[in-house]
Amino acid sequence: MADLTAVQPPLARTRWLGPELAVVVAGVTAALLFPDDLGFITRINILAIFTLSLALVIGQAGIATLGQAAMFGAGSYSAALWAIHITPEPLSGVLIGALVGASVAAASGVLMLRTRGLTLLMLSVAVAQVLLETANKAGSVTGGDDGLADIPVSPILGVFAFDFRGQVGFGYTLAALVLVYFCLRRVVASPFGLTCRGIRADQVRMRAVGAPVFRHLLSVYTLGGAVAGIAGALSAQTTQVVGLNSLGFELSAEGLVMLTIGGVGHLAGALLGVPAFMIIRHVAASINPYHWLLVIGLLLIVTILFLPQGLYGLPEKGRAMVRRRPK
Amino acid sequence: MTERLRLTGVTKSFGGLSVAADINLSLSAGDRTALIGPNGAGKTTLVNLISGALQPSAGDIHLDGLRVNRLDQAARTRAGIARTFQVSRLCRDLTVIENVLLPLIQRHRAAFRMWPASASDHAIRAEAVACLEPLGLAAVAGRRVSELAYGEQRLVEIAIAIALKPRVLLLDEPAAGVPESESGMILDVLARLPRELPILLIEHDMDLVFRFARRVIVLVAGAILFEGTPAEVAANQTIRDIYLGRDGHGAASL
Repeated sequence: MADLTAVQPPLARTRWLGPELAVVVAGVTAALLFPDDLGFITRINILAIFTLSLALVIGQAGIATLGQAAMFGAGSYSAALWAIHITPEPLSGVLIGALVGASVAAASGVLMLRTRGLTLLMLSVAVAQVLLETANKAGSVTGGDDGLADIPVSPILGVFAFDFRGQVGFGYTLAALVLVYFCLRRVVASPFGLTCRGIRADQVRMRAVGAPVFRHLLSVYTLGGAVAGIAGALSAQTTQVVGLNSLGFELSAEGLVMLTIGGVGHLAGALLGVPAFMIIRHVAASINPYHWLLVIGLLLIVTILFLPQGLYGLPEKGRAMVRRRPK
Repeated sequence: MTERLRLTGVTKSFGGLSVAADINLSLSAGDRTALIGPNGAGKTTLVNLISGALQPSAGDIHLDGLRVNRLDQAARTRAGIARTFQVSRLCRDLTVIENVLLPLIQRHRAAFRMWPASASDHAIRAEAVACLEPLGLAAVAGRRVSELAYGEQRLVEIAIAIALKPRVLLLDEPAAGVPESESGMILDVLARLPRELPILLIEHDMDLVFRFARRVIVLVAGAILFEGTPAEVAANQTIRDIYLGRDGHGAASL
C-alpha cells in the first residue's frame, strides 16, 4: 500500500485550523495597529469574502465571470430591504442576503452555464447590467440613483450594538470572513471541490468519467452566489447604505484583479490579494489621487508576467530562484 | 456468453458525408475485439457514437439490453460504457491519484458531497491506490500528470477507465504516441485487464492487434468491410490491398 498521507489534498485532513487562525491574527493585529482605520479594515474583510466567492467560482471551477457583483448587489439590496421593512436584526439579514445571492446565481446560471469562454464572460456582464438597470428604474423600492440610506441595524445577538468607531462592525465582518473561509476550505477539500477542479481542467474528460458537468457548474455557481450575497449583506449593514455601485461592473472587475494579484488557484489568494490591492490603492491614491489606477495596472501586469500564481505563489517562486542561483 | 453491447444499424452523417454507415456490432463478456481501418475510416467516430460524445443519425445502441441512445455521455459512462482517448485527456494540473479519484467519486455518488468525510474519503482514496498499483503507478500517485512521461500518462488513461468498473471498455489507440520501447508495457497492462470485461480496441500497431484480439473488425469509409479472426484478416487479399499496405505486412508502413 502506498503512503496515503504523502498525497496532497483533496480528500485530505482539514481539521488543522492554522489558516483560519492566521486570518484572525492578521485582522486583529491590523485593527490594533490602526484603530482609526477600522472602517477601511472592515471594507477589506467584506471584499475578502466577496473575492473568496470568485476564488471558488473562477479559481476552482474555471467559470469565467465578470458579473459577480450581481450577487453582491442582490445580497446588499435584499439585506437592506429586509432591515427596513421586516426586522433590523442583522444575522437574519445576512441569511436573506445569502439566499437572494444564491437565487440570483441559480437563475442566471441556468442560462449562462451552458456556454463557455467569451460568451459566458459577456453573459455574466449582461446579467449584472440588467440587475443594475432594474435597480435604477425601480426607484420606489431601491431608491434608484440615490440608493438606500440609514438602514437600521439592531445589536448583533441583541448584545453588540454597532458603534461609531466601527469596532463591532470590524469584529462582525472578521468573524463572518473566518467562518466563510472555514467552510469554503472544506468545500475545496471535498469530493465536490475536486470534481470542480476536474471540470476546470477538462470538461470532456469529466463527461467521460460520468460527471454531470452542468449540474456541478450550477451548484458551485450558486454556492459562490450565496457567499457574494453574504458579502453584500455585510456591506449594507456596516455602512448602512446601499447604492447602485454595489451592482456595478467596477466591483466585479476589481474582485478579479484582487484575486489575480493574490493567486487565482487558491482560496488564500483572495485573502492575500484583497489587502494588498486595498493598501496599495489607498497609498497610491493619497500620493496622487488621479493616477493611482496606473499603479494598480502596473502591479497587475507584473503579477501576470512574473507571478502567475500571484502572491500565494511568491514563496515557491522565491525558493525556485534560490535553488537556481548557485549554478 | 451474455451480450453486453449491441449496435444495430448505427449511422451517422454530417451533411452529405457519411462517417458511419449501418454499423452492426456486438460485444459479449470476455470479448477481445480489435477495430482496424485506414486513417479517416471512422474508428474514433464510432467510439464517440458509442460513448455518447456524438449522437447517431439512425440506429440503436443497447447496453445490457437497455437502449442508451437518448443518454448523454456522462449518463452512458455511469451506465457502464468507459472509453479512453486517442490523445491523452487528463487533468494535467491534478495529481495522478486525483485523476483516478474523479471517476471513483462519481461511481460512489460522492460528487455532490461538499464536506470532507474522513471514513468515506479514505475508502475512496484506498480504492484509487488499488487502481494504480497493478499499473505500476502507485509510486507516482502524488505527482502531477504534466510531470509524467507520455507512456505513463497513457497508463493513467487506462487506470481511470478501470476505476469506472465499466461493463464495456473502448480503448482508442492506447499505445498511440508511446515510443516502441514502452508499448510492451501497454500490452502487458491490456493482457491483465479483467478477463470477463468486453474490450473494443482501436489500434494501428498490427503486432499489438494480432497479439491482443480474438476478433478483428475492418472499417473502411464508415462501413464494416470484414469481420473475422486475426488469421482470416491476415489472409484476406482485399484487406491486405486496402489496409495493410502495398508491401503486404502493414504495421511498419502504418
